[in-house]
Amino acid sequence: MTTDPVTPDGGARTPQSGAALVAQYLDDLERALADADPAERAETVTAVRDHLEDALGTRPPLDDARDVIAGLGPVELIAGAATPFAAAHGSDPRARTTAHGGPTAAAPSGTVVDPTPWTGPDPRFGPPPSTEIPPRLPGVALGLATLSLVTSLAWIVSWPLAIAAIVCAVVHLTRSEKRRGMAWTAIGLGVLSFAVSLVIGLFSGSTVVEETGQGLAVPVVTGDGPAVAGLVVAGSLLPGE
Amino acid sequence: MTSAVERAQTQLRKGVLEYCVLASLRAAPAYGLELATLLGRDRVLLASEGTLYPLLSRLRTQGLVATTWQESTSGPPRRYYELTDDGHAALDAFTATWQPFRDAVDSLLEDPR
Repeated sequence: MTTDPVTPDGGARTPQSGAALVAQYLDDLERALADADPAERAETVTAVRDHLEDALGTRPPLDDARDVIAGLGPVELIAGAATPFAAAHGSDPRARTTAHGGPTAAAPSGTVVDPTPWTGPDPRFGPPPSTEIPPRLPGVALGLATLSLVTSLAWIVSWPLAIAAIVCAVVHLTRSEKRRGMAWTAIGLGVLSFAVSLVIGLFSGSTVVEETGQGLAVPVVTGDGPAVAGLVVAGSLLPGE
Repeated sequence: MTSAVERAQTQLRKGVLEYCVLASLRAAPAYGLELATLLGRDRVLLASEGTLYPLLSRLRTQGLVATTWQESTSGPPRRYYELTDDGHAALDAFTATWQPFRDAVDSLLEDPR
């Protein structure tokens, strides 16, 4: 069972590569789903694209692309299995038209048309809420924590990075069950880095910023300890003593 | 013209396909191509692999499956489908119903009286 992609005016097109055939199939699918519930249409097209990429990679031979597309079936069959927009929003599900304005044929055999009303948010007002957590967040947290640790000697730079790393990791842990080990590692490194930068900032040479005659600020090491460091963090400028 | 066999298949799919999808996710999460290959291999449960995806979208909307991203060894991260608690409950209810239902049908097909 296969579909030869056609132009909107019915003329046959002849893709020259597997990638072109795949792109044309996805275009045809999107058109065939024009009357489907918008969120379901977007999700279906994305899932079919993922299916094709998983099966074919990025530069598939034309014959391989034909085989996989044949397995997916005609776009009209997929569209027949989708929830019509009218049904999803409470209108008569039979009041459907095709993308070209004509009446829709009866659902082809083998399709499953579920008239269950769409209960999700209206995607016209933004994408549906996703339960999917970007898989990059733990990696970002770990990167920030590592950078924070590396820059510990520059404690003014290091501690905000540590805080950012910890926040990213905690956000991930509260929202996902995946890659928790990486998130916990980021928290550990972040806490360690924060502690190191704190110790360096407080005890191993507190830095006082002093105004020079040219209006430039230069660091001056004093023996004033934690109190002076706190003033520097707060942005105060103390004259050197 | 649709054959009588195809009509019967269509009616049966309407009733059981979503539970077959849930059943195929009971043991472990799976990604789209994996599910489509499993369910479409004999062309009995799925008329074509592509019809799986609108159904998966509805199951997600109904809260019976959830999707997550997982790293792939052979490309970009993949979207995996997994059963939710509601999905497990729906599958358990279907499993409990299916055996007596099938027995009743078998009984009638074998000996109507």
